[in-house]
Amino acid sequence: MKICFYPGCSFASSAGYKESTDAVCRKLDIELAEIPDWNCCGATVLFGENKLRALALSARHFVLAETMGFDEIVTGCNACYATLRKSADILSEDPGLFQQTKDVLKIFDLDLVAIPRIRHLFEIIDQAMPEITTDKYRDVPVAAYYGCQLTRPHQDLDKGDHPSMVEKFLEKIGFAVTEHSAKTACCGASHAVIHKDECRPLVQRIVGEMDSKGAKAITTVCPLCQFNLDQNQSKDAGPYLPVTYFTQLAGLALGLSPKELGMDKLLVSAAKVLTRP
Amino acid sequence: MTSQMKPRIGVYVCHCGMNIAPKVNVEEVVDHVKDMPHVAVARDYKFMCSNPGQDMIIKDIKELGLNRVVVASCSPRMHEKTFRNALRTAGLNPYYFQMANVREQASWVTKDSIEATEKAKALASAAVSRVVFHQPLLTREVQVEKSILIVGGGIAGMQAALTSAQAGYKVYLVEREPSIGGHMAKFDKTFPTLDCAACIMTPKMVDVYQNPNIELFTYSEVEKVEGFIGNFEVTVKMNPRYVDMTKCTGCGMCMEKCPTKKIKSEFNEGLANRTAIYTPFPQAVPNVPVIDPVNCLVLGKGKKCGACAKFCESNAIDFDQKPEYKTVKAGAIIVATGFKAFNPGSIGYYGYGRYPEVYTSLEFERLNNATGPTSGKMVMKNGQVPKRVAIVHCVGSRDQRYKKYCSRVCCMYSMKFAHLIHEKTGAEVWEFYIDIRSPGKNYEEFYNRVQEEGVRFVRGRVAEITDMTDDPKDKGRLTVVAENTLTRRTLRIPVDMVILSVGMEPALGADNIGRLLGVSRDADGWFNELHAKLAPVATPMNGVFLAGCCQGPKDIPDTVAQSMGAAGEAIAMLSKGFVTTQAEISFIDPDLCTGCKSCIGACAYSAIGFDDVRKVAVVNEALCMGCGSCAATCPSSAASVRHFSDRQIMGELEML
Repeated sequence: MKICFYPGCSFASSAGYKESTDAVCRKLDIELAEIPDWNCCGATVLFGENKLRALALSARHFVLAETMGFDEIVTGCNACYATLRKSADILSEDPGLFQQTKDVLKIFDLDLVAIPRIRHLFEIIDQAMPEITTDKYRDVPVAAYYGCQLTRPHQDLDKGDHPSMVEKFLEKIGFAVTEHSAKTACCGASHAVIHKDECRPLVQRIVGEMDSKGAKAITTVCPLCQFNLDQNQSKDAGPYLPVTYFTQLAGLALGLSPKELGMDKLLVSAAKVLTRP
Repeated sequence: MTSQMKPRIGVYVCHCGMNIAPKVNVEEVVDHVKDMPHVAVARDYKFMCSNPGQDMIIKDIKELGLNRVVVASCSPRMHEKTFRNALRTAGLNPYYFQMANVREQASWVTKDSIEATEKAKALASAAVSRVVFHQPLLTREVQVEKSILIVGGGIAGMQAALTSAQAGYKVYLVEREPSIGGHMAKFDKTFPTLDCAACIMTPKMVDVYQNPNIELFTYSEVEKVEGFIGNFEVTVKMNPRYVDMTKCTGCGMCMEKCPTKKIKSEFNEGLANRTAIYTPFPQAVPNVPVIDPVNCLVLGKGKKCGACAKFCESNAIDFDQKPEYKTVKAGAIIVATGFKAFNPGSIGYYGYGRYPEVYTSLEFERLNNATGPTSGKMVMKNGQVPKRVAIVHCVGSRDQRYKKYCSRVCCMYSMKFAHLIHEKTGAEVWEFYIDIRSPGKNYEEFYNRVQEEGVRFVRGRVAEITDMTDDPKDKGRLTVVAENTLTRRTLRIPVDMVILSVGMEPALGADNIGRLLGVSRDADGWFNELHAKLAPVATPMNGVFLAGCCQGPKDIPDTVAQSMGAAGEAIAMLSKGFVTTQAEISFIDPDLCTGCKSCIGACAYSAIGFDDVRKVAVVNEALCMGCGSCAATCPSSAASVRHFSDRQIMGELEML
């Protein structure tokens, strides 16, 4: 299977997201066709600043993907996912803005014609992963962290506030699941960089909740979620739960080594919990 | 006076005090129409609907020999009847009248005075042009059945039944549950007086049961409705109870012996269990159990049990019962189908269904009720008494994503809860509200009283209910997250129990009842009354009336008042012994009808039959509502609606 992949700005530099995604996709025969010369998606902030500019940033990828012959764009970041979907929704519903965006892109010799379907990498991996029947990791209760933008506002992947698709995925690939109440709680998102003191308690609440419900590891589907949960623990007092990417757990389940999956980059080490002889 | 006579029209332009006159230049309107063909006289007057106004018309008819009248004033829904009666008094057929609505359609809705006047001129001259073609029409009197059928046996239906029966009318009361009583039977106390609901409810239930004028159909549904105002024929389906009502003594032995004991009790909102053979609650009326055919070992699972039959001393158990149908005649129908509570499960961030200590208000009513699962002890699922309780207002109500409307009762019952919790447990109570709505008699006083008792009120919609805690000592408790919009601070309040004050939705099956009776519903599913202010219990369907929450959320006092009103309206309609049918109905010209039957399918009131001998469609004049669907559908122009002929409508349009 070949998919049109939009990595977004933090994919390659995050703690093993790229390594694990590449390794797992190789194993599952998924070819990631990266959009050439991709640009910033504008994240969530640009829409408030300049709607047309925000739309044009997303729509540029829509044209590039179409030129590559795809009608779907896959991304592994919740913010990219939400931003691209928001643009796709607006451009499908508002013919006026569609025309304006089309006019902007024309300056760059790009012709906006079709709006692709936006999908999250999780959907692709979840579909492709076989059921893992070994009990190698059954003793590791994992808490899934969805972040705020994967299931909201769009609630078509799962329930908005209390989703369960990642838990089902974890069960399928041989991990134990910790049910908890922080699945979509706010981690501070990009504010964690500038407003550290305000955001640290938010993260502490999330990891504290997971810890108190018995989790031994956390898994995320987004680079910023991973970063916030990981780095705030490594600096503060505990509870030191390793914060993995779902692709890293998928890789382990498929028998790949932690090194191949870039897990040595995690700030809170996963070695104790996830290393198997 | 016949239509062949040369028309002599009187036109009267009303000032309606200050409603029409200053905006619309009435003198100009009079000038505009007075020289139109056939107009004999045109005048303006301050209040045409007043006695002097009507007398002016009557006098002109007599003295000037008018044979047509136009009044340019308000909506025909307001005063058409008034002026038609004036014509009748003067000896003129009332249908020689046309009304131009220059108030709702001109003065009230037009900013510019000149524009409003032009509009009024057009409307008035259109009416003049139309009235020329009016024909005299006759109404008929139809005998009525002096009985009333009531759908729904909650407090609304029961009260309507008692009032109707008191007036000597035969009442058929149809309730789909095994017992009458509805939601009110589930309540413990009622606001703001804190009367014991059972104390004021159960005697009424017994009254209904014992009243010789009331025939009670419980565990029954309305299956089919035929006929028309004064002469409805209603088929009631009586679901099998599998217990012979004539033999059962209500001893309760069957329920004691039933081995299937762990079925969630609907009456107790799933907080207690019942057996497969059961009465919903101990004071059920009638006190005859039903067997739940899904969970019964014999009926549902095909097993040999029959414990109930074995121990029944009066041989009342009958596993072979089938549904029975009975057709009754009723002159009027009162719909009292009530409401259902909003299910908060769809609001993910309130955690209902996930956290055991999050209750709906109906669940809490049971928890607080002496006959409820805890015998009225206000305790959590672990048996402990809560120390702090949060009450969340407007759950499902006043929310663009769920129900936009205010459910009207939640503020008051929430404060009732607060008072009762405080009184019974001493727990701290927090009310999270958007606005407090306490507009009933002694309601505001109750609000003040609860505030004085120390209940904390936070103005802010609750954002989240979670078991995530910041402080380890709160582990196991719930945290309510909300913004106090008065202090602009975010609150995280640890509590032991949360009550979601859920709003009201139309009862399940209301859509079906609406279809059967031809009563329309609004966008939210509540039944439409005929007029929001002046006909709040009647419906556009003649002879069908509304009582209680089926028409919109209401508290008990309003429900009881409306029920008495509905009964009163029904009685007023039936007491004469006959009803007058409307004259503006469809007429199918047998000479033009090709017998294609298109109109029969188009008629929403089943008012068109087919004459197999002449091969033409025939209108049942008693059923026809004059909607005009047949006239619009008829390919050969055989169908037309009296008083809405092509000539009349074209005449009107020419001047607009």
